[in-house]
Amino acid sequence: MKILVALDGKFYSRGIVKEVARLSESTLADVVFLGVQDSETEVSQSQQMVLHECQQDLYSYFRPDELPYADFSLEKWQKIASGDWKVSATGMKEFTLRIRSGSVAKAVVDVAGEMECDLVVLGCDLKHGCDWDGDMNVPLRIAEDAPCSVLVIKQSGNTREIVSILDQSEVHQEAIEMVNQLVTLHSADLTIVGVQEKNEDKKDQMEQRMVELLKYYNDRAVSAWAKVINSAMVTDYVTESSQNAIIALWMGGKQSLLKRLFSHSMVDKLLNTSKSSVFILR
Amino acid sequence: MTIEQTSILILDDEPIVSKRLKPSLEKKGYEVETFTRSSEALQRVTERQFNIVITDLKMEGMDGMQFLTEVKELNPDTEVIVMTGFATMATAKESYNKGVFDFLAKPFKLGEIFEVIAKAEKKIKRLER
Repeated sequence: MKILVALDGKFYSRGIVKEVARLSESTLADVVFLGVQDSETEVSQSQQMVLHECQQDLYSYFRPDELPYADFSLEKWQKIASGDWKVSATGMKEFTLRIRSGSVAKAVVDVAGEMECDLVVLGCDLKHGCDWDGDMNVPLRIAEDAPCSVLVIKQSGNTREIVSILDQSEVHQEAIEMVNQLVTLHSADLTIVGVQEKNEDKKDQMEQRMVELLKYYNDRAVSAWAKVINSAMVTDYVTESSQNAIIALWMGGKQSLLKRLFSHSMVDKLLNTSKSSVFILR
Repeated sequence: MTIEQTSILILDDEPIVSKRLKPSLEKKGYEVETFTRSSEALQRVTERQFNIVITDLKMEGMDGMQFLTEVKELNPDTEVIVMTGFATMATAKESYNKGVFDFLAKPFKLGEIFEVIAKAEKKIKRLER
């Protein structure tokens, strides 16, 4: 698994490093820390320092003999393209620091695609809902446009429940696996929620999918609860559940029912009103 | 044993995993056998030696940890790669203690497992010389 972590020097970014460390410890993931700056010509020393400090924070979470990443010197920063710098080290797993110029959301989405990341993680400032350095659009744009799953951490620490809202389009194995890792990390209860439309054919499909998923978890000795709700209730249900549980929203392909129900403004609303972290699954 | 075509056994009770991996690996020139039941996979490793075994950990019946222990006991030269959707530090540690070559948390991109297989293959060839 490869995790891309978007970071700036603000408290909400520093606050997620421990959570990322826990995730990378359990999954032995390759990790990329990405900073974004304005200048295309020269790499920002302060940006380098922020990433380096966050990297040190993450490394310090591990016992020295269990650290899967190699150490590296900041002198090895390399310009790999205009407005694009990186330094990396390969131990048992790879750790990369990268700085890209441009807008934050575009840089995160682009690098996640180029580096074939499986998960993007970022924090956000809760003062006005969920913003990044005063810009409410950054977490939303990343959640909407990233080519992989996105975890927006609003509250670090242990969450006891993960509510996974199922799409009616194809359920990707990768998305199931991503939920599984989060459930394992938090030792959390899993509630799978199917969203039902009036269409009777799709009702059967949804019920069948729920049964298959429950069997999947039962076979793996993972306790999971299932629930089916009407599509008209989905926004209220999600808003209410998100006060305590991590919400995992399945935003599938073009056929995605959730994509239709959760228009741009609803994902925005979820990011802004949820007290706990939000997980957008792809 | 001299390697001509590297042989790989894949065990995952999710058929979609083998379905995704098998054709891509065969295209790269590997000889691949896939199993969804650990008992059948175990039977196969008693019949012949594989260069590389890729196994899931959490499965119905015999779990992957027990399977990889048996594989290493039968053929210590076989390199085992573990993949799991329920990764914990404890399972990673236990896997390494049992001599696995690498540990991959799901989901992963095909490129990631290709890279790990190539490294395992390199190690096998180095030990052969």
